[in-house]
Amino acid sequence: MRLRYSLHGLRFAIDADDAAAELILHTIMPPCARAGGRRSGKTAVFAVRCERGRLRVFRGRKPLWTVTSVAELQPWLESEVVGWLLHRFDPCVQLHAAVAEHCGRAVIIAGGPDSGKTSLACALALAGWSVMSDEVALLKPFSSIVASFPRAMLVKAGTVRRLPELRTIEPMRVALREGEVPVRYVSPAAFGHPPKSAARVRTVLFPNWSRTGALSPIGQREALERLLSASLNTARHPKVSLDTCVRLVSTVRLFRLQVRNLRESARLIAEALEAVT
Amino acid sequence: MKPASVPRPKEAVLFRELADGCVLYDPETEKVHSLNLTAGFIWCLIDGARSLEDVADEIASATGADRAVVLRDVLDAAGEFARQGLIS
Repeated sequence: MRLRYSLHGLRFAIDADDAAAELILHTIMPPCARAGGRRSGKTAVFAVRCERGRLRVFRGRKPLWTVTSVAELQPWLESEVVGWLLHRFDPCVQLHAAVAEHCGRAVIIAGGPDSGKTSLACALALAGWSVMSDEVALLKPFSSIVASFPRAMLVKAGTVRRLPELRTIEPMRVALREGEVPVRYVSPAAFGHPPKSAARVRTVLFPNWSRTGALSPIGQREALERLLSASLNTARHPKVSLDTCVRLVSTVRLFRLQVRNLRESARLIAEALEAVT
Repeated sequence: MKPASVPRPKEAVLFRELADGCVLYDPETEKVHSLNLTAGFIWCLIDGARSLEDVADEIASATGADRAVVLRDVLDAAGEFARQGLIS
């Protein structure tokens, strides 16, 4: 079976000759991952073949690696596919951040692991926003345009506890990960608002969990420092990354978001975005 | 650093101005250095030709500030730039 995807003109496919593998493969990119761009170039094909009880993974004809079980396959294949995509999107500035969009206006939520990026993206999605990415923001060079990166959202149990409505959103898969903690792989489109392929950034937020909920402005210098530390490819393209991030912090509103309650935070973000226009 | 020192900025370091200050990015160490406006001004005048005294003179004449105070700030800033490997 071949699963086909098209992301900003890049085409790739995953061949799997096993039903279990197919189940796993859909967790990397949801079947909705068809975002904008003219199709160009050849389709890159990742293939999973079962040989003598082992799963061998190829890109084209090139063997990449071998695993012994389906459980091992998913994280390796995910990192291979995402790594390939990010390499192809290299001229874009890549930030470790979630992106949500409403009425063509995007909000970047940048922060380290467990800072609440995906939780906030879920809260916004439940409030009617579309999620363009929960992990990687692709900024077009020297602009404040962000392109979507609609890989599956990885929703942890803690987020579901804080937002019980998430139980009504059908996950593509529930799996054990990170020390046997169940996580849900959710398509960004499952919330009923398919992600746009690109949008203009209006606000950048830096969240952290807190006992008080508040949204407060931060300076351009601090924001730039935080954005560059969240950048995945500044080392390869220092000038492009620096100038793109400088442009971003000079043209959008910048906030520190203390998150106590996710719904309250989603409301604060919506109000801040409203105030921009 | 001494007042007569003539420091040279590291070539690869990138400088950008923002509304509330400036930043330096060192691609070799991948570190971002955040500067206030005064430190940014000092950085711009360190060019491998001026001594730190010359830098202080220029700032003092441009701003009308006390030269001794300015020189102390320039020496402090240059010491910090040197510690961070941004000038030699």
